[in-house]
Amino acid sequence: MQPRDGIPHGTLYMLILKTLARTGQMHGFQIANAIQQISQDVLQVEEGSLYPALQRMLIKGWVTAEWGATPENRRARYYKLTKTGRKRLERELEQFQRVNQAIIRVIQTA
Amino acid sequence: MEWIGESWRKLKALAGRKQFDRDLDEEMRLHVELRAQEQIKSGTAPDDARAAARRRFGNPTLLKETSRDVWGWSSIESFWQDLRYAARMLSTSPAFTLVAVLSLAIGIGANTAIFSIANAILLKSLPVRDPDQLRLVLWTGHSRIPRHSGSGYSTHLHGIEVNSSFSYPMYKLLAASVPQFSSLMGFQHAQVTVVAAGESHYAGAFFATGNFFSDLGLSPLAGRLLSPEDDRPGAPAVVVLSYRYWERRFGLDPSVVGRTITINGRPVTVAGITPRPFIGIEPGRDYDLFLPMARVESFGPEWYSLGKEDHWWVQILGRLRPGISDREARAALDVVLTRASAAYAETQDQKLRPFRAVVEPGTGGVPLLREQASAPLLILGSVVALVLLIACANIANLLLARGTARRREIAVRLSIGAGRWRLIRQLLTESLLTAGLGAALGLAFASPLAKAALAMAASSEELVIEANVDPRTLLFTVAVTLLTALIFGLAPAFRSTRVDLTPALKDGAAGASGAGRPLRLSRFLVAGQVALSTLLLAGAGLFVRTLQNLSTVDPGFNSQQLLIFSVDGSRSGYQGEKLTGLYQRIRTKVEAIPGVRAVSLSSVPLIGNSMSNSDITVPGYTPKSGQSAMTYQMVIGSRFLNTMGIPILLGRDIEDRDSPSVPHVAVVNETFVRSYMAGQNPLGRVFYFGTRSGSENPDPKDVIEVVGVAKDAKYDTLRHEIPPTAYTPYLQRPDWVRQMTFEVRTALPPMAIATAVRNIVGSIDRNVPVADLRTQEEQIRLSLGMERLFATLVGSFGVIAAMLASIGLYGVLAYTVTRRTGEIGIRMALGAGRRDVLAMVLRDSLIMVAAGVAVGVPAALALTRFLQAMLYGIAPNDPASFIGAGLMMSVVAMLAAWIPARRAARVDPMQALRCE
Repeated sequence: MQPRDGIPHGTLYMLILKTLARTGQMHGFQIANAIQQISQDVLQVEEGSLYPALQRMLIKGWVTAEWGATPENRRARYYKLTKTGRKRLERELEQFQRVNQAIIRVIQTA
Repeated sequence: MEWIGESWRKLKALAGRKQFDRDLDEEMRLHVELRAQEQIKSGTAPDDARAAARRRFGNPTLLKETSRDVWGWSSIESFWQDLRYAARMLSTSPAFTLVAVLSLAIGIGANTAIFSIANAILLKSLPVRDPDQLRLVLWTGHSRIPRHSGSGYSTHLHGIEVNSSFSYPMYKLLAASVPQFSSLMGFQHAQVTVVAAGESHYAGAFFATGNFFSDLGLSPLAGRLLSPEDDRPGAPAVVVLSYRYWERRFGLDPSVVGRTITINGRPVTVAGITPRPFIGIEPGRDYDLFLPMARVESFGPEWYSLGKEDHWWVQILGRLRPGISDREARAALDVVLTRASAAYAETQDQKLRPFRAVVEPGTGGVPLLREQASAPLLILGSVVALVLLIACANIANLLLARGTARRREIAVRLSIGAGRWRLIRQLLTESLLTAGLGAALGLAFASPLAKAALAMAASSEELVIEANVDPRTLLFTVAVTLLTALIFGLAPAFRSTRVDLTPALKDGAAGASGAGRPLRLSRFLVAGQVALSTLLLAGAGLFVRTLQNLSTVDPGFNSQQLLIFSVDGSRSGYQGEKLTGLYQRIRTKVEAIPGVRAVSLSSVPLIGNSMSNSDITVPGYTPKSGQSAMTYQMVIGSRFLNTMGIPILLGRDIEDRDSPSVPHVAVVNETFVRSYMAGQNPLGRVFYFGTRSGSENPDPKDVIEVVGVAKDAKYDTLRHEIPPTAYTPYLQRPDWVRQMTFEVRTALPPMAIATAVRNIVGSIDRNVPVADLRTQEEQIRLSLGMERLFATLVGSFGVIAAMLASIGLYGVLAYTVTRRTGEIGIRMALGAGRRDVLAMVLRDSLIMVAAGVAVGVPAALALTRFLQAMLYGIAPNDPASFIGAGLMMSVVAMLAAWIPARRAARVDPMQALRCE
């Protein structure tokens, strides 16, 4: 088993938003799996913590939720990105990259 | 603006909180199961897979909590919890809850009622477009300049007299030359006679310039409102009805619009109805009809002239242009006014000081009632505030006692880990719930109370004020409620959560230890309540005695068995001899009604709050320099003094022979003689109206000979000293005759002939209405409305306050007695008699009451000075009122103390000691 890192503080929203932006609608388990797979299992969402985050995003109006059925015909709540959520994602990405590059520059010069 | 959507989503979710929990549950369960299945597929044993999945997921309970917190429900939920707990606690002690809620309902309701009246009179904006731009245009200058300073209101601002009426030409000049105002609207009101649907009645008419409705931004409820086209000479005669009048007289019949009604004998077409919230621009005064200013000469009194420069009667409401300051507006008005008044002065023989413009806020309209209502409102406001304060003290006291009783409960909760703040919050929630219940109940009776108070305060005229519970009043009530809850709840909440746990838990019932401090506070609160109640009772005594004094003051005439009513033929086309002939005919026919002893008439009713006075010249009497001789005058029919029962001391009454063709005569009262003809025989002496220098000879027909002296009688009000008064026959003063009041002396109860009177006037001319038909006693009763209001309100609140204070006293004593049962038992076992115990408890209460009275009486003495102007026949330190207040408070308090004292005296020493 290769080492897994926790998700840097504050980036969970961005990851969820990005995941939803790429794939349309997903339920919680799918989101957790998607984040894990895309990051090639390096980043691991502490699975339960996904749910309070999703609640907050619902309040903020970044995502909407709707109950639907999984392919195996289980009831699941599907989350979808809203317009506000898309704008938010762009802002977060921009900010993240800006900070990231700054950090990388600092590290490289050191 | 993001937070709005956010709050909305939170609020929406709040409603479906249970669903939320279920959803979250299901979602999480699914997650764990899917994870476990995944592991099972890859070959893990099912049990291990499930355990691993759960491990990976984390603590679901904690996560759920976190999720719920995200929605911000926890504070709402715990408040809800507190509230439910509070409701349970209140329902376990219904007696306390009842007393608390009722006394708060009275306190908060009364405060809301008085505030709603103050709001309507002093604060409310007119229901028109941009009321903040409105200004009243007034002037100040040398007083009594215009010869006919007509109607309008004058007031004192910062100590200078300010007048509101202009001449119409002056209004036109201002309207044309002061661009700082986007609009200047002229207005004035008058009484008219309306005939509609075969019925005649008097109505209040409001004359407005053509720009009035459009510049106020009002739109019609039906038809149309007055426009500049209507306000031109020769335009078709139209009238707009007020909503209230339309409702009262026409039952909201929409077909009235377009119909023709008769006003003062002329046909006028109804053009439309004003919107419902608009009841005029003078709060307190009601208008029935709105007529164009151009019509004022046809419908108004003769001094409402559009052309004459010396007739001052138009009032002005202006709309200031945005960005213009009051100072700029006033300066602009001043330029025009100063020039115009200088030009005007030259046309007059008097020297004039130029006028200066005054610009006052007109947001709430003309402050007709501000001057006279401010002081009463301040007094009533203070009274109801005191009542609420007493109620607060009372509840705080009961809470303190309860807090002690609940020490065990509180100790248990503290010891199992509840925070002190949490408990204080819980206790304050109980206070808030109590106050909220009281406020809800209080709001229910605030409006009826305000209406009743206004009805009582209005004398004979209706006081039209919309004293309803509007948003501002509601806000006031909510603020008062919160404040109230804090005042009575805070100290008990802190006090009762400061508990020494061990003894509190050990003791069964209320233990003796640690109870001394709250009790001291309780005793202090009771003394405070007694002090405030004494203060209120003293005030109540003053007002009650004032009303008594005025009700029993001798008016100088016999007010019993006397019916009065008013008729104005001048507005139905009668003038000169036709008018006096009409009055003569009415008089003769009313005299013929069986049971009528005598009939006469006068220009105004006695004790009717209206009068007229005039400067006079009395040959042989030299007034002090700068002053002039003045007399009140009343124009009367023959045998008036006899009919009213005013004794003639010298000479004779006015009689039928005093016709226009014979020398003019007057009967004067004693004060007149004392003032102007002291020490001489007044009979045969002459005087004349107006002031003239000695050299000038008056027109012989202006000379009036004194033919009789009447005993002094009250004229316009019971309150004032009787002024010099001259009674002159109306037949000899036809110029002064307009509306007349008839006085009918009956053998029967006066109202028994009311219908006969109406029928007689109707049979003579059905277009002439009868108004103000009532007994003279009723007229006097109406004139004392304000006094009755104060006696009733302050009296009831005084009694309520005394009762509340007694409940407080009872509560403290009852608690003390319970607490001291053991001690009392020991005392009795050692030989104290029941009387000693009784005396001990009574003495205890007497100390509190005496302390309260000792503070209350001097406080009252200091404050009642300010009531001086409202009192009659007593000094503000009237001993009877003060002794009465102290005595009444003491008696009521002792009655309240008697019950616990008796209980103490009945303690069985054996049982008491065994319990200990």
